[in-house]
Amino acid sequence: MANDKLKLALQDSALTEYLNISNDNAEWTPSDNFERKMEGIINKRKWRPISSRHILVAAAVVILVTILAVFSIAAVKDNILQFIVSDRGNVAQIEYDKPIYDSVGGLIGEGDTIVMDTFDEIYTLDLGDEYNETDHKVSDMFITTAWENGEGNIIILTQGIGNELRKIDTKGLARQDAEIDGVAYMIFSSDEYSLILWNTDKYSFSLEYYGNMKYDDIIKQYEPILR
Amino acid sequence: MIFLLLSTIDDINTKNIIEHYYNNYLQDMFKMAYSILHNTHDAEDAVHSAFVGIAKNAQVLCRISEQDGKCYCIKSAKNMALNIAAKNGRMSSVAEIHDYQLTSSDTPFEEVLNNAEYSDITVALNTIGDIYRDVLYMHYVLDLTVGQISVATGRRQSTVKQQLVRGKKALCNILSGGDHRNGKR
Repeated sequence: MANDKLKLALQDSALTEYLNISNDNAEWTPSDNFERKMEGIINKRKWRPISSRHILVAAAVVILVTILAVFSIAAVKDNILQFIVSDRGNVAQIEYDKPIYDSVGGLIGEGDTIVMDTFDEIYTLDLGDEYNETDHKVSDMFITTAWENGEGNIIILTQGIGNELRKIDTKGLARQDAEIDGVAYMIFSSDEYSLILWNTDKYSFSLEYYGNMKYDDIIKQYEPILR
Repeated sequence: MIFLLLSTIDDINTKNIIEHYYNNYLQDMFKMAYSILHNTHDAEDAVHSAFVGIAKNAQVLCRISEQDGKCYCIKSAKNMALNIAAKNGRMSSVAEIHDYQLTSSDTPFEEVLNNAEYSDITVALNTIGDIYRDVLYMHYVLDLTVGQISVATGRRQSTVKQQLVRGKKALCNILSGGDHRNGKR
């Protein structure tokens, strides 16, 4: 009781003391030297306001790490798929410039439009009871599965083979590149949407999340299984 | 893999919390430091030192409220500024550094607080001086250890312990009806 009284008094005292500081409108511009010293602490080159999109990107990275726990990523030199991203204003054009294989896994060449025969493995996500599978589409080049939960949040996993030209409207999306276990991931995100792109030696993958993501939700159940 | 996940989240949480307070309270921290030092270069040094401590105490900031976090940041910048002022030999220009003639009191601290009116406690806190008030704030409001207060204020742990004891005794003396500054009653 006594400590509660003291605690409240200390808080009130602090609020009163700092009210005058905030009311002072004089603005200070940090010196270059200060910003350089701060760079080492906050690990960024430019000051920018933190926003929920950064948390969303971080959340997307966590999902990614979870998925990698099951994917066996072996970066074989000749089989690494390359992203070619051309930035055209608010549209990112992503081409998977990759070696093309015939149906028995022999290397044909690069840049051809020959499509691989079959999906040797089909990947999905085990999202537990919270999400229900709402869509599953199979075509020659893509397998797309969508899930939705009771709050209207949507997750879409797309697995692809063959050359792919994908255009993404990146207006309002923050981009972050990540590399985990030698594999490159491209992440685009906003407050309401997150897109992760990556590939193995055989397939391209995209994972899209529509909705607000919270830390407590993302560390629960994103564990893919092989069907 | 779970360790990597937790590690990733912890690192991301920590990084985000540091960025959050940097982006939102940097100006206030500088203004506080500048109000003490009246020198931009020294004030920047004080703010930088405060953020070094914030980075070390980031887990503390993750568990406290926004308002308390703001107070932590500003108090840290203030105390770093006071340290610089002391090193620069400008102690005499820094207000509210009292040298109390402390006497031992038989009345336990909590008993004194229980018997005191809230308004009297507030007045007493504003009387004892910034340094004592800030370490009491960090101890009683933020629940920091002596080690964490040492990091936040840039002072040795022995100094922090001494300031906590002196702060409590000063409060006791004022609330008990005595004012022992300069030995007066």
